[in-house]
Amino acid sequence: MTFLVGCDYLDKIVEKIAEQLISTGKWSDADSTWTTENFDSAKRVVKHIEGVYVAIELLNSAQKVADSRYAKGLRITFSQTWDTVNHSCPVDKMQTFVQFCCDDSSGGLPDLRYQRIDYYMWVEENGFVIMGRPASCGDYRGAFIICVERNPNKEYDDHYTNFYCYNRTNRCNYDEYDGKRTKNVIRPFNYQANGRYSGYQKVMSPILSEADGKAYGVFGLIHNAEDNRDPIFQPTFFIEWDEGKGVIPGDILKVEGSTREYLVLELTGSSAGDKLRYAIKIHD
Amino acid sequence: MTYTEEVDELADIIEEIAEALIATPSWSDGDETWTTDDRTGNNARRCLYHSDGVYMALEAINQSDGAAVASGYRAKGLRITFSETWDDENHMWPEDNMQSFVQFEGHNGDVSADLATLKINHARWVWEDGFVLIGAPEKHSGDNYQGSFLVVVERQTDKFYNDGESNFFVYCRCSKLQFDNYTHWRHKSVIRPWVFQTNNASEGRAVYLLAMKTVSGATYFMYPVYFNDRWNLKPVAQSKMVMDYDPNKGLADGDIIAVQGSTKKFKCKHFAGPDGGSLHIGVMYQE
Repeated sequence: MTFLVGCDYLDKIVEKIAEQLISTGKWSDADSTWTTENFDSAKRVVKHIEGVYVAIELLNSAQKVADSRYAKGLRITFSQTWDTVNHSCPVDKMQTFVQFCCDDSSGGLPDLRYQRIDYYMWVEENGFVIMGRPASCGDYRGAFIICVERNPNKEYDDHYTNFYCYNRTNRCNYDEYDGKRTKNVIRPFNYQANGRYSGYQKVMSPILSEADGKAYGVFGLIHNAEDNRDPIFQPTFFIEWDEGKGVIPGDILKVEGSTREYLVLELTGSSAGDKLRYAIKIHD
Repeated sequence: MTYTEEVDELADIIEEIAEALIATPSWSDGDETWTTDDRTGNNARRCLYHSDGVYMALEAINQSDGAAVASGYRAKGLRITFSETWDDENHMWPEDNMQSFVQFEGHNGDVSADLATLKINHARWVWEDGFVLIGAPEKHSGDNYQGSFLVVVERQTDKFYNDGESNFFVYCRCSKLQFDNYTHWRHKSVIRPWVFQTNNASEGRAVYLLAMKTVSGATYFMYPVYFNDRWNLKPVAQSKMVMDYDPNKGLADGDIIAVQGSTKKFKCKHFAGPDGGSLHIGVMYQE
């Protein structure tokens, strides 16, 4: 398990995620033709021993994501199989396009090969969480969070995988065109939903108590339905936090009775938009 | 400890709560002149004393026409007062107190219902560490602001830290009138003796996860959190006697929620006010 902080190009980050996952022994390279050698088609696909494929693609050509909105970013795809003939994701998949570089014209988007990304990332055998933002990138450049977590502590046997994906940018999360849709929550292979709190439910933001100096909070809930009716487990890679409750960026939250720690982060893009406020895991 | 569902007059409810508390080792009669024998005026009342040094007075407010609670509004109901001392000479709570008047029988004019005879459909849980009372009066045509109401008084020994304050937490709601205008007739939603009191139900008490029943039949919940401040920055304890639930997520009046890993159970109760509004909460049903 590793916590990484850096400023790097997106292909290098994709490579790091893949290699770190593979180094845990629970993941393997699923297609040796998927590499990051060519920036414009930088991509990796890894397979978890439970039979879940996770493909990570860098999209450096402008994708029309909505009327007068074009984006570049990362696409994450979950599948149970892999097309080894065509070296591509199968038709039956769940997918999200994290549109952190966005503009109202395709020409307004810079070439990502020259864009460094400030990032904070935790990688372990159960997945990864990354928060980042490009140094500069378009009118609607945004901060983003991507969390792919395998949680073995399910509330009940639901016959689905142990994975979920939570992802979001602070500006563009459009869900309009196939292959370019944002699905903020994916619960392979049960459902995928667009909506900040569809399938993921925030519970209690950490509160830094003025009385005893401790932080009190409750991890969120991942549901087995986008109407938040079926809690299946709690995310352990991140906890969403609220401003004005004593916790500030840079704080480290320690989980009482364990060695787990979380770094409080607040990222925003170049223009207006919600700040992304999450504390991500930095120590197990 | 008892869970009860009854239709009764307020004075009888006060009497039964008082006697049930006194039957436990921690409570005693705080003033023997305070009885529920006289149901006229505001005379049906009991005073309880907890061995922690807390007085709790319960009064059926039934004065003629009701008490003025706001310009043009009058109400009758249950007044609950907490204090650290008791005026033995005048047989009255001291002015240094924290108090909530639960204005469930209201009218934009004089109140005509007589609480001595007005029936209240209710559910209650009483045990050593306090009580929960949720109910609604029967319809009375002469009054037009009749609401359902909820009173939770809990003594919480599992505080997150030693704050030097009492162990009591109070939560009051009414589905119609909750005026906080006039001294002695104020409704206070949250009382944290002796730290603060507020009429904003989201101050000092927060619900982060409403209990929900899943399609598989399991119920997920998180107990409400009590704070030592109205800005909700000093969490100090979690409620153990009530569970706020979401009526749109599988739970309905009468449902029993069993707490996994314990014998504890809650019963979902929903009461609609005769003149509108409704309250619902999971009431402790079994320890």
